[in-house]
Amino acid sequence: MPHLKLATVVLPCLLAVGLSLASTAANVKSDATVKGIGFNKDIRPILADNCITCHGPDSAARRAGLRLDRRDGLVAKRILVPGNPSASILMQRINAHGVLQMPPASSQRVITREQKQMLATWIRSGANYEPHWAYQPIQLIKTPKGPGNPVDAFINAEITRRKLVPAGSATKREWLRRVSLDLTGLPPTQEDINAFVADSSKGAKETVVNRLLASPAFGEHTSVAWLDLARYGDSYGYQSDQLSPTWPYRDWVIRALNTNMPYDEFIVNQVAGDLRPDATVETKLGTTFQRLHRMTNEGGSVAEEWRMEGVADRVRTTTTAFLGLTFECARCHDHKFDPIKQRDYYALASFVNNVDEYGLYNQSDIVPTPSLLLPTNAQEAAIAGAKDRVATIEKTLSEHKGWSTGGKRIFSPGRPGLTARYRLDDRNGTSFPNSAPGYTEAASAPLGLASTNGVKGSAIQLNGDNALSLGGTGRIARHVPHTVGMWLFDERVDDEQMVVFHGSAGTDVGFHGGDVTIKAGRVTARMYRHWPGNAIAVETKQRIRAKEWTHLTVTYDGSSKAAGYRIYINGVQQETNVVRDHIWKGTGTHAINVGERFRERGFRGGKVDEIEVYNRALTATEVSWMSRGIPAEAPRMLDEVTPADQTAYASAHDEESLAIGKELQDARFAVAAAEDGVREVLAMEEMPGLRPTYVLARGAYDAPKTPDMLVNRQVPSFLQQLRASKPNRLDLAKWMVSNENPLTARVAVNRFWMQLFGRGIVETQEDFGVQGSRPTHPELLDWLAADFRTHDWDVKRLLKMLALSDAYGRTSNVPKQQRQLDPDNKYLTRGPSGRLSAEQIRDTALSIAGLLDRKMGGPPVSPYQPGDLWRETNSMSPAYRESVGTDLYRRSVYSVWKRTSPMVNMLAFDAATREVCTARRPSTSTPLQAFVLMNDVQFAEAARVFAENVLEVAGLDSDNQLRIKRMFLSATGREANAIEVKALSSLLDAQLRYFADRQEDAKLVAAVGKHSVNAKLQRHTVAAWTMVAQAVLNSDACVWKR
Amino acid sequence: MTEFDPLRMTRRHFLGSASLGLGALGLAESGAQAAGILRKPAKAKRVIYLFQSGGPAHIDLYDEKPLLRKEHGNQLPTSVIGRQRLTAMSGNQASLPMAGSAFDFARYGKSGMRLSSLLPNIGGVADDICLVRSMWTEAINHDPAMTFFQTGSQIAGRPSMGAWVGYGLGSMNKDLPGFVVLVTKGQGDQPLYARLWGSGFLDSRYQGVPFRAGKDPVLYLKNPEGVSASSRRSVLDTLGVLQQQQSKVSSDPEVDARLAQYELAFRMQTSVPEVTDLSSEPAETFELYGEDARTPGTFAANCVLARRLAEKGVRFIQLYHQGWDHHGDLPGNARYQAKLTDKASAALIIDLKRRGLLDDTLVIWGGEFGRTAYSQGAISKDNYGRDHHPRCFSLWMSGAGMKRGFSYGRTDDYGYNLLDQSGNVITPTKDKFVPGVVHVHDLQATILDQLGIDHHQLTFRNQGRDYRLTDVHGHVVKDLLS
Repeated sequence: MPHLKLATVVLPCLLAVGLSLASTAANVKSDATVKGIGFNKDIRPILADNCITCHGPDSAARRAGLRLDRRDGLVAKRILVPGNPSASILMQRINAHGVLQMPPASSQRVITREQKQMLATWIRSGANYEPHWAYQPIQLIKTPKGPGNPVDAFINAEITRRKLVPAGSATKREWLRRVSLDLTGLPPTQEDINAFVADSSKGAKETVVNRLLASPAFGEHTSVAWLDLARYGDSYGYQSDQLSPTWPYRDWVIRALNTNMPYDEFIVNQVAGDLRPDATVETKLGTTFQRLHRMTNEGGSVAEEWRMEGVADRVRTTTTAFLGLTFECARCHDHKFDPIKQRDYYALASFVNNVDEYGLYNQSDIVPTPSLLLPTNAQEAAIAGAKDRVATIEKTLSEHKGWSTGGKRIFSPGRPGLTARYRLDDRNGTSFPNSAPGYTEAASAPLGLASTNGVKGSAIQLNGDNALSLGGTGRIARHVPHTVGMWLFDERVDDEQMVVFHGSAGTDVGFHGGDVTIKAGRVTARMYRHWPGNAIAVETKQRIRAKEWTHLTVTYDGSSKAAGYRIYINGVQQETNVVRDHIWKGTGTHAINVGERFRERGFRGGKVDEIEVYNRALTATEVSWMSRGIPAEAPRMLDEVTPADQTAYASAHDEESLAIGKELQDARFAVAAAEDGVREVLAMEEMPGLRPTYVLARGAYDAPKTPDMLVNRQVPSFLQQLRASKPNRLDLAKWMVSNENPLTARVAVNRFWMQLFGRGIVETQEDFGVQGSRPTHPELLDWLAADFRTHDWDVKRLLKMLALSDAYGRTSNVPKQQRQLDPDNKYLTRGPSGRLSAEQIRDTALSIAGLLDRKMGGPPVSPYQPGDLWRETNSMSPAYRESVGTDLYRRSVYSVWKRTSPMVNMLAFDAATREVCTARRPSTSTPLQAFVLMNDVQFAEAARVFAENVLEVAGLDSDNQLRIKRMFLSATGREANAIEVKALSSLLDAQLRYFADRQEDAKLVAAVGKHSVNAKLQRHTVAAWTMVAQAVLNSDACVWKR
Repeated sequence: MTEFDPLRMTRRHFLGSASLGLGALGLAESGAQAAGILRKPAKAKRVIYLFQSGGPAHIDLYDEKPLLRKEHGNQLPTSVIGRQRLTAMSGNQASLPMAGSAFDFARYGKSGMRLSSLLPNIGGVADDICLVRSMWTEAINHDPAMTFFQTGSQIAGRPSMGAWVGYGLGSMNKDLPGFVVLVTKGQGDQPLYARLWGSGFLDSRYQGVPFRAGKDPVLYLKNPEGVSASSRRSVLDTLGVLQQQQSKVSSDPEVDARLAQYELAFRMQTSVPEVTDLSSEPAETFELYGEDARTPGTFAANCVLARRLAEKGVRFIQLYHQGWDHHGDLPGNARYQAKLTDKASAALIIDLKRRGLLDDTLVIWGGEFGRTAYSQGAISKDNYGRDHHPRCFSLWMSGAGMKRGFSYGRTDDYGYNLLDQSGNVITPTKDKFVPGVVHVHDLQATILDQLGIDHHQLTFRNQGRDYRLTDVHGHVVKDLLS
């Protein structure tokens, strides 16, 4: 009964309590009137700025039990007396002085006289509240009648209502440049301009828009705003800031936009592409979106703290990008302005908290799980082949019974495969001899460890901080069978997990390899590349006894399966629980250390004795000998011994079995090696069960997790609730794009509107909440949102409609007086204009110069940087390796993005750092921008090559004026006027003279950058023209969209 | 009729349109002023922040602990640690032996401030500094701790302190940036991140501009090879004509604003090399700051440069000296870093003072957290390491408005916990101000206060919320003010 639920659950939380839902639409409408005072337009901002912090939705911060964000109870308490301002306590307190004054002087908030008058007027007219517009269902606005673009009907109506005058149309060239930059990020080419100018047909504009939308450049450009939201970068973003191979997601976004993936599907894939019933690698790749939050590998980091930071970032990014909500405010307390409870925050967090992740990353090439493998077809075949081979050999081995026939073979108990035996009785300083026959490598305790009484002779007393290193006598690796056995004495100093021995590498932020640990007596054996997602592990059900000598043996058969591990205590095989059972790629090969691991809890207080290492997985029979000793039996014929002994024989003595085993080990290594080359990206994957999610006081990961703080998965309580009883991420995704969700479609169309018009209908793209801007054209926004949904969330269709509107096609050049009537162009009286984005500026310069390399996708490239800025203040960072050849000239979306040291020439033009979700970039003007455009080799070279190309244009002979006109037109898309031509000509003449006398300087200018020098041209000519090109490339006509 | 309704304007929006006019004036105006943020009379006109990155060990530099020397090698009582978390580096260590400082402390100045023998020169200016021994923070790892100190939040995306100050007060000069960043060259150790001097959600004009040692002090400052100043001038003049034409047609004030930035850039091409070139400094400067000040990029050279920038009216001069992250071999490492920083830090105070600049320049010296009382890793008679310790550490300020020859705050005998003014161990929270202890937000509030800014008032609306450097915390520590 969803409707009942809406009425009972949602209504009390609405700001408009006391209003029926039916009256909502009418109120929203009245709010949009120009004259008169509207609650949402006028009153809510006053209350929000001055009162709501203490009298709002945040119950913890609420004073005097009073909330002014809803009308509930205010009339009864005479806070508001409709029709009578002076009787209203609200007005009395606002007008009071001294202790009664509200807001109190200490708050340093002031309600102005005009605002007080407005409040009084509002109370006089009934003190009606209105619900916040964005939380109300999208209104179904009728499509305006009449011919022409519906968008224009709304805009023109508003212009007429406000008695404004729209500007005339932009010239064809202006419009072409504008629409080309807005849809593809690139200026039109000379051919584009010629074709469009020559096309006098009615559908000329549509032809252009169709061409642009079909161009691959569309996705490359449109993806940038999405990648800002997705905080996409090519590095992990903290401290040493290692590179993170996430670019397949970037290409996924570009591909999704270019193939016009319906926007609802675009969302569903990024939230829950892994959970779709028809999930594919392609849908799963969308979920990388949820894992692009920064990660650290700084030593000493507490994994759980950082895991929760990641979860919080997912909540923030998801809610900002899709819903336009400032959810992160509710991480520590109820939202101060919007009706988002702290519980809502964690209820939403629980959708993205059920991931089997560690919280930290270890090193650049080990992708923190969960991850998605992206093998090429060849790799896939190679892996399958390698696995087939393993299966074949495994079968051969299991069926190999050659040894059992004939009855002529002799079985003699022994220790085949023993590579090390440390009695630990005779020590030579810090060294302990190896008594395994044929092996000499000693064990050592370089930092010192004391001897103590052992099971037999002496034992080693461990302290948890120093290791007994077994040197090269054993090898721990995924494909290598091994056995490690020892007597140990568990002092059980506490119930924390302690490392008994390991063969692994890494630091406290993550290891890879194998280890055996004890936690409160339970023994765990693990092999992993990245814990916990890429690992096999088993844990004993029984505990070993504390403070008692116990024999522990762990065998591993090299199978990469949890079942390949066996744990024996006092010679008895233990029942185990499988903890993890999925591993891929290599784990490295590591020597064994006992009792200690770098910055981990070692086997403190414990003792070890009689350590044995084998290069094979011993059979149960053999293991029993380790603790009880080898039976003193004479050798017997094989058919006289027990089946268990026969198995031991097969495994340890039979030459043919051993040979097959060796083959198997090689084949298993080949599997890991085949997997190693496969691309792997961060992705989402639901883990079995449900990780409990708690409301965390102050948002702190270590806040008390008490039962009353436990939350269920739920969407914000003030919005339409989910229907599923046990919802998962896919239900969340579907809810976002459902017809009942009032936000997603509005937020989406507003963003695409912003792409073309520069400014959203709601200016605050990042905040559709109470504190955000109100839509300038609420009905248009709702009409667009509904239309978008009705038409299958078709992004290209939407953009096309906007691009073909008259409003978009107006000139942006208007006289000053007209500009002042609509200074921010809120009402679209003129065409959009604005500085190009960082990416557009660079791509435009490269495109004009003919340098732009249009290759799409793939690993990021490294364009010019003045030296290695990555390492200049970060000696832990990888080095910056500048690309060579055409990779210096790729589109900026492919430039490597290091989040702690982003491209300086891009940041100068307000590119987002991509550390956190960014919905909107500011646009500023700084001297650094002048430096970049004039002096950065990327731009200086572009000017030089541009100059060379203009000089090479045929048919212009030596007419410099014609060339200047040509240059100006290609750079700006419009004709230069006479004054501009004259100014550029005199610059050219002066620079020609100047460089003619300075050939050495000219040579330098004519050779700037790595692009080959055009030797046919005179140096001083190129140099002088380069100066002219710089003037043009720096001009407003080139750097701005007009 | 057009709607002009200032009440409906968001602050960002207001700035957006207001900045059109500001742009033409270069960097001189403050966004906050434009947004109507009130200013109070200021004691400090500018800040020189000598950030000691990595976490200098308070116990070896500023906070003498005889008990640790007495108990050297013995276990730190668990009651001292209480419920405080440790890092994952030493948190798993089997033993936490107390480590007494390898360095003797002595009395300095008339005030008798007790400082480590590693800092004789800072000791020499003890009567000019205000030493806080009761700083504390929440962050326990470098990246979040530095980000917190410099931006008021461990979460990325917030403006840095220098950016806030630029937004609040504007610049005081016409041909240099208002916020300059200087990093000691070649130190390695814990990294620095662009976000530490970034503008976050403020306009990028408030970003700190790193001045680098060497030929190109500001990235992209120099003309491409072969392009002379005269050629550049001609290009700019021509650009001026093109801009004029565009301005005429569009009537967009942004066109002129952008041209003004080009002119400012052109002036900076002269002013930056001038100010960064120390060759005109007399020999006496290098006697005062140390001979290594002659080597560009050293901490000492950056201190000289900081003074020169202060003289030129740069508002916020942020130095970073990496190298204080001493998990092992602390005595050797600390001795080395002290050698690089002690003399020049003191020289800067002396120099500013004699030039009359100390009265309105606030100098700050400190790192992102302190270091543990116990040894990380192996301890011997005269060697040990220390892990990160956020609960208490030391930092000093000097100049504008701060008390002089003044020590503030106490830690327990282990240098592990903060004490309140009655000498009781306390577990502070940032929500409640306790006299005697100084949270990072309190420090930030105090710095802003000295600059004439009420930290509650310096806000910027982003995502529907009025953000502050001090979040919703911070308290001006009046006890520190003269």
